[in-house]
Amino acid sequence: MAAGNVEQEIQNTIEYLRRLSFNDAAGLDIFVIIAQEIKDHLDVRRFNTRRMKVFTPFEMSQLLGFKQAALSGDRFGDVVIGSGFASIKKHRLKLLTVYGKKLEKLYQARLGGRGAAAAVLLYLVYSIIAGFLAMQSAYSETQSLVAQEKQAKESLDSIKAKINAVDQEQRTFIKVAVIYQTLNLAQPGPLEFVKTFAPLVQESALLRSIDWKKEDAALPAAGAAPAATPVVAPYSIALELEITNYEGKKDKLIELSKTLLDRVVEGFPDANVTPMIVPGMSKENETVQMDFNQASNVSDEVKEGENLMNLTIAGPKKTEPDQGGIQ
Amino acid sequence: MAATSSADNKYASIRKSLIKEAIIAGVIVVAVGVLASVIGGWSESSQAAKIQAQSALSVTQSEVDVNKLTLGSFDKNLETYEALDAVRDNENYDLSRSALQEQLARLRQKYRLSELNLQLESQTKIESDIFKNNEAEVYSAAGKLTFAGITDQHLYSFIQELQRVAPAFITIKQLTLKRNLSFDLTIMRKISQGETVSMVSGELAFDWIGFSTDTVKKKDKVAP
Repeated sequence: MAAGNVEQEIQNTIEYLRRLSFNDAAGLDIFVIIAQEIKDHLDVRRFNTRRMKVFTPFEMSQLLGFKQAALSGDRFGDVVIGSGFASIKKHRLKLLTVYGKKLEKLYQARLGGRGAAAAVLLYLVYSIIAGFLAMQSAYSETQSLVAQEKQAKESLDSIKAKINAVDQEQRTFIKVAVIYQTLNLAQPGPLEFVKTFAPLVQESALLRSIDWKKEDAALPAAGAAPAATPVVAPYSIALELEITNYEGKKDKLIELSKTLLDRVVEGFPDANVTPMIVPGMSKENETVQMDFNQASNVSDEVKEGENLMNLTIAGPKKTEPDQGGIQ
Repeated sequence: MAATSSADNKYASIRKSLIKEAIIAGVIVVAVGVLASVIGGWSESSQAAKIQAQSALSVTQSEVDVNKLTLGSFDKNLETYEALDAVRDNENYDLSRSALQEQLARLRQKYRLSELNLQLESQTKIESDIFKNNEAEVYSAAGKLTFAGITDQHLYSFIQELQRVAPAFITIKQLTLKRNLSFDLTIMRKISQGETVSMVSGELAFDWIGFSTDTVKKKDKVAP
């Protein structure tokens, strides 16, 4: 009979739900907590449900993990159900009185206030700690910088003392050296040329005239580093030589001239050697040609002035700038 | 009625305690905020002090670098001067015409020059930032020497020694030498009799570079 009453109550509830727009197609889950003797007589097939579970209070307490909420012989599930509701953390439905609502508002206000104060305090504490650490770091760095500056000032005083110790005479020497370096006075002159040229001539010729010229070099800009080696200013040397020791023979004169010319070219690899007049040489369209094979065919007699040789030596050779790029 | 009054009192009490709590929290927040602000201010001032110290160090360091360079250039220039002094026999770098003429007269005798003439233009200042930086007033005078002697070797030796013993620097711009005569018995006889013969004549165009004022100690190594 009790089982029949339960079944009837379930039917009534379903009917009531239908009035509240429940649709059978949506499906229905039914959980029934009843005593064991009623459970045995409950006919679950009477209900058209998606799922229907029937538990005793003890079974339910075991399922929910409330060990002490029901014993195996208990017939009522109120304690289990009450424990179940109480254990839910988030209640979907709150039923509060007006007073409760007011208390709830106070509670929420206190919670919000505490949260805001905690957040602000956290931020401020963070600011304090960060500021303190930054201050400490800056302080120690400043101390280090001050110490470095002190050392630098000592070093500066020492250097200035050394500079001040340079006396007037030494300052003049320095000025002399500055002139020497700035105006590039170390570069070779005509005497250096003669020292190189004389051994090349040996006994084969006499120098009749020399005209050595040098172009002025531009002053370097202020602050420019002095060149490691003196920059050689462009120069040109016009020479007139008289070939000697040719024993009156023209072929020997030509041979001596050729040897001398070769020596000069080899002796001045950084300059352009241009033969203007050379015994045995003919000029055609400004191109110098020497026919040494014909030396034996020409007259052996060397006329006056035929033993003269004119050369121009100009340097330094201009190096072609590297074009680079893809060929 | 009594129950409602009790509830209202309880509510008022809770509200009062909440307000008190809020005031205390506010005071704490303000106090901590002030502390944070003070420490922030100290932190900023210590950062400013650090930047100032960095700047001061940077200025001092750059001054040290400049002075080191100056000192280094002094040392290098003194080395250059020593090397120069080793190949020169005159420590006078003034454009002293009388000293130059004195040396030329001596060299003319020494190298038996049959002819020696000097033309000197007026001196002009060489403008250069390098000289200005080194507080050096450098002048230049264009000059020309015409001379004649027995052999070209005599003339080369004359020029070489002139560059070594002349006051200031003589930088050669052009040298022209020409052999006028060939050796023969007449000339050899003249030479052996101590006569000067113009076998080779030449011209030397040069720039005479040095100081205008008396800035160098006067101590010629060469005997007058």
